[in-house]
Amino acid sequence: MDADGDPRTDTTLLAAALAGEGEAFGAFYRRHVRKITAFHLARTHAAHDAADLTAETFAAALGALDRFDPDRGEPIAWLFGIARNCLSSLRRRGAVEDRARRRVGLTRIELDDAALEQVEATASAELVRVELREGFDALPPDQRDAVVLRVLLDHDYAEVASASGVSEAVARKRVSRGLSAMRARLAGRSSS
Amino acid sequence: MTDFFADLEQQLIGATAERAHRVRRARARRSATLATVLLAVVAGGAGLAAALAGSDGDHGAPAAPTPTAAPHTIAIAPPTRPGTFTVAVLNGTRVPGLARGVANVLQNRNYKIGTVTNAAEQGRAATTVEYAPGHRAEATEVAAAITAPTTTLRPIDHATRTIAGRLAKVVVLVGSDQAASPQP
Repeated sequence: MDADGDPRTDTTLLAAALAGEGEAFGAFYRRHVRKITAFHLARTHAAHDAADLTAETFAAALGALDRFDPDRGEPIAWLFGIARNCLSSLRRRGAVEDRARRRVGLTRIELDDAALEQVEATASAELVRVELREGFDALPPDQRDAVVLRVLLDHDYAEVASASGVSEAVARKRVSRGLSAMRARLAGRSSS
Repeated sequence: MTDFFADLEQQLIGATAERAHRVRRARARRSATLATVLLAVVAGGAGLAAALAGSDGDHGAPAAPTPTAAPHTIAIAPPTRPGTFTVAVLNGTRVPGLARGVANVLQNRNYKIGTVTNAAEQGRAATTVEYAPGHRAEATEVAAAITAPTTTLRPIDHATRTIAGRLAKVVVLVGSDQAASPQP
């Protein structure tokens, strides 16, 4: 689901969707649906709310296509703004709205347990991916290099040490500190 | 199991095309209304001018009949509700299952589906939507729902009615253009 198969930029896709090209909005959706679902799952902790909010978010985006102004920012920022609105209306009302879906003619998708699990798994995987990437980016460079060499490229500690010009003990320490920082970040997310 | 992500994608793709249709129709309605208003203003102005000319001029002659703006209203058909009328779907091609596919699309949009079978002839290229007397608005919505590129509307004919049955208010005669468009 990572490749949406469309080389066009988000802005171009939205312009084509506004002109009525369904497939353009489909590509925009495929590109961002996991991020939006992950956003909603991280804040509601309930797969059925996350699914409903995701559908409502994209329906609202579709309904507001003509109000998207590329001069005011990237489409993804606009989309997250809509997602935040949907979420705050859930918090105000205690229920997910379906106004945007009704307006553009979407029907509510009823989800069985297996479908809810799919939503949860997809969104959680996305969350972990984002958190890991952010956690990774936040590491000090020496730890990040050590983690790349040892964990991703599977070098042994002697090789990590010589590549970085440090002793093996220091290399071990860097890998272990880097990994535990990332672990702490993930743990922080799931307990929040 | 329901595939939430795929279902939502299909709905959004369909709704994107429908939205553009709707916006275009609304624009057409707005410009039609504007034209009517302009017409009324022009006609009213002419009437006023004629009346003034009549009162200023020859008092013996009866004033020219004042042209009044025709009470021209634009009939905006209220949106119909899917499910309140029956739609029959007839396959006008040799592609097996094409009528069933179109019927499924409509059913997903809550239309009530009647007869689904083969049409009298099977060499149809363009999809046509036929309507029973008084059901043109419903036919327009059905045509929008199946988003066929070249759909035309026309009153139902006797042969179609015989196959589709008396209950059907709208009959879709599926042409090979529906084979080209993706079926959700």
